[in-house]
Amino acid sequence: MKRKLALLMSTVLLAVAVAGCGSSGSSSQNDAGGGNTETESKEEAPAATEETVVGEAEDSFKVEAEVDTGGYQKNESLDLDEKVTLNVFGPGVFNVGEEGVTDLTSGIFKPGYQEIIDRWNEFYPNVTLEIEPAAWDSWQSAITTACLSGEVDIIMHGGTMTDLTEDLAPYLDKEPEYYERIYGTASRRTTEHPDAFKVSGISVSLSPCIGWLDTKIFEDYGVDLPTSDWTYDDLLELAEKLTGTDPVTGQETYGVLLYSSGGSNLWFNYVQAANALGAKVFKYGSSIEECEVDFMSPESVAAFQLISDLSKFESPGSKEGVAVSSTINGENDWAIMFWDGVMAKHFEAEAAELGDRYVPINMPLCSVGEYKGIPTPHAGDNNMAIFKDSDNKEWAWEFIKFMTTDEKATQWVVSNMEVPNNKAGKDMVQELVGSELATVIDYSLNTLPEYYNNATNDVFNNVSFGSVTNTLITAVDNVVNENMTPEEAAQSMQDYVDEYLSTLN
Amino acid sequence: MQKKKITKRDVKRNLTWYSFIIVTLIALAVLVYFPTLKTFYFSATNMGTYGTDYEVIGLRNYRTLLTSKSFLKALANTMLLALYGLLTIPLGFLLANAINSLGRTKLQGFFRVMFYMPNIITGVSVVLIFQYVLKGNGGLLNQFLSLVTGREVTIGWITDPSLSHVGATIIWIWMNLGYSMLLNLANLQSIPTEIYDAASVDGATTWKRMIYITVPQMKSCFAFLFVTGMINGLSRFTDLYILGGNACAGRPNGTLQTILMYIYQYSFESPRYGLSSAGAVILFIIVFVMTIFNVQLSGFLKGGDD
Repeated sequence: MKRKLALLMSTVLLAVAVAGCGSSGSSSQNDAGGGNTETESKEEAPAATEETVVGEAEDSFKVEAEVDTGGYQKNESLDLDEKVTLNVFGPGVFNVGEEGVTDLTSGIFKPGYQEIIDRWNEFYPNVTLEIEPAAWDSWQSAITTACLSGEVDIIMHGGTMTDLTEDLAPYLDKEPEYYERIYGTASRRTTEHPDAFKVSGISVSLSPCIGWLDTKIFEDYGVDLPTSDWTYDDLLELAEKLTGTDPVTGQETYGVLLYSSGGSNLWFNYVQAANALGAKVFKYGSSIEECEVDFMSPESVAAFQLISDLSKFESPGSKEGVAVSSTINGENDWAIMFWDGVMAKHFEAEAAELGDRYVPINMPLCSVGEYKGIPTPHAGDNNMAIFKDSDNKEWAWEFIKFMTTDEKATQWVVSNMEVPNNKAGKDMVQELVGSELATVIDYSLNTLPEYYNNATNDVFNNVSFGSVTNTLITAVDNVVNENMTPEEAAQSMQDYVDEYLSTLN
Repeated sequence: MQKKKITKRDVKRNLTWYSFIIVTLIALAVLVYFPTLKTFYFSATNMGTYGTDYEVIGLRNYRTLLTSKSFLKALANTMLLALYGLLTIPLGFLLANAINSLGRTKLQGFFRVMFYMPNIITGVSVVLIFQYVLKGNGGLLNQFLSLVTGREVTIGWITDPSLSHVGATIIWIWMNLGYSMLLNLANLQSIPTEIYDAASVDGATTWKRMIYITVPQMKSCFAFLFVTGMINGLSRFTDLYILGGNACAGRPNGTLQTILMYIYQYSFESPRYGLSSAGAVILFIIVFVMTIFNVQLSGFLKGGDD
């Protein structure tokens, strides 16, 4: 009896062990990469503590290009004898730490922020920079707490927190030549500005969402690569052609891997599709109650339909959010993939010695509406905002300008594998990633609509409507997994917003 | 009984002893009770995104929550998942019986340790592993079922909204079975063997000994596991958060969104602290009721009569 029992339990244990060891494939790659779009970046941009910190890098990259970025000129109009401490708090580019970190994928050493402090002090020895990076976990709460303490001048990635930030539009109005030199701002749709975006921050780095094509799969199927003027119709056609059994390798391939497939930023697919199809969902009023929201418009439903159509050419694992391998490693089963960590993706391919196989392409062009003819707008960023109650607003603005125009600061940003928000920095990016990707990045950023923001715009608003983002994640996920029709998904969004607005009265 | 009057002298004499607990009491008051009371207060305010400029709005947040479909869905999910999670009790009991039957041997020690092992693995790892076990397309469980049934099984244990509770419960049971087994085993081994011996002399079968001796003797253990299991189940978060792709949406279709995830989204993702505080208070009340239930079952308040 005892022997039988022991045998039975051994079997159970074995089953348990098998369950425990079942992960033979690559680990879930949900949202791995370097995207740092406002809300998404909380999980995607690693804090310094998550990487190999400091020490001798296995490899190191330093932008050496003698590039004329226009440079940063010391502002003599400021009181240079004044002793000032400028407090910088929040997550973002300074998460590399004081001494820097080594990127785990590429082995490239990312320099720390001490270099920025040193460079800044060459201009302004009277201004002490106190940089306190914050982890992405609950970053908004951390910023709120820090601001309540009053000891913050510059909020890293504060662009999304419009209630805490200074409106930078007047600053830009005063210095139009500066505005000309950068790609874009961190702006938000708010009810304070019903007819326009509030410039709540300036991006230090930008990362446009682009497509990556596996040329081998295209070649195996005998399909030509798309060109930069491709549309979503072209994408659908290509995705269909490239889904099936690879005629050369015999492996199953799938036409497309949706943005953030299986991850928490899946909802951006709706924003992209709705923009491409010219949907206008949000009509802003002077208060949230006065906003008009219409997710049931034909364009909005069509956006869900587009996601549904595309997902037919996605792998079952990706739809489930399990074993989503967005990391470029040569074993990918997707032919076309969308991601906004442009530099990170490039170095993934380089690390796998597959730089020639995976080529970048801009997002498909919008077919109708306001954005007709331009690549579907989407760019992640790391931004800096000025705390509205700061006593050092002038110095804070000066630091922001310094970070986005100074040659050494631009080099530092590029060396950290970020795309600087500085048009003149294009050559540095090119030196780092080659002309093909640099051109795609430059094209994507130059065509980005003025004041465009991924998360608060005419088709979506993730700030003012409670948990609407989670509802959209659910809706898109349901469409992808065929648990809802596009109409039902649109209706679920409308129902949520209606319910939310009713709770405000 | 006449109450003894506490004099200054008594206090002075016992001051040393009070000094030992005063730090704990202050820490509890400052770090636990004060924030709890504050949460009650905030739940009656319209505190918004940045925790400033708010006013008292009475019970409006509670009305909002209790008439919100999404909150009620989260509430139902939480209760159902907590109840399903109680399956660890009978399963743990059966396992404990099996292990106990091995006698006090090395083999028993081995199985005891091995079955408890999942308990010390972090929830994050367990979920990542179980994503591969439970995935619809080529998941281990489906592969096993395909082998048994002889045809391809592609059940979406964690993607099909109608089955996601089953998938989530499988993970929960795997994570908590060891604990339940260990407690059941400890309790089983504390039952006096004389009772079994007497029953055997009276001709009681194994089944009857189980029904009439073991199960009644295990009552307090079951009660404890029931209440702690419910409380743990009601505060379920991490595994479901990761299962949903590091989001509080409770994918698929919100079927795995628990109250804690609901509270989290209104605390950190799109802050409305008044609303999230009201949610926290509702959760507190539910857990409090469960605790009272526990106290009643365990007879804690009856102490002193014994």
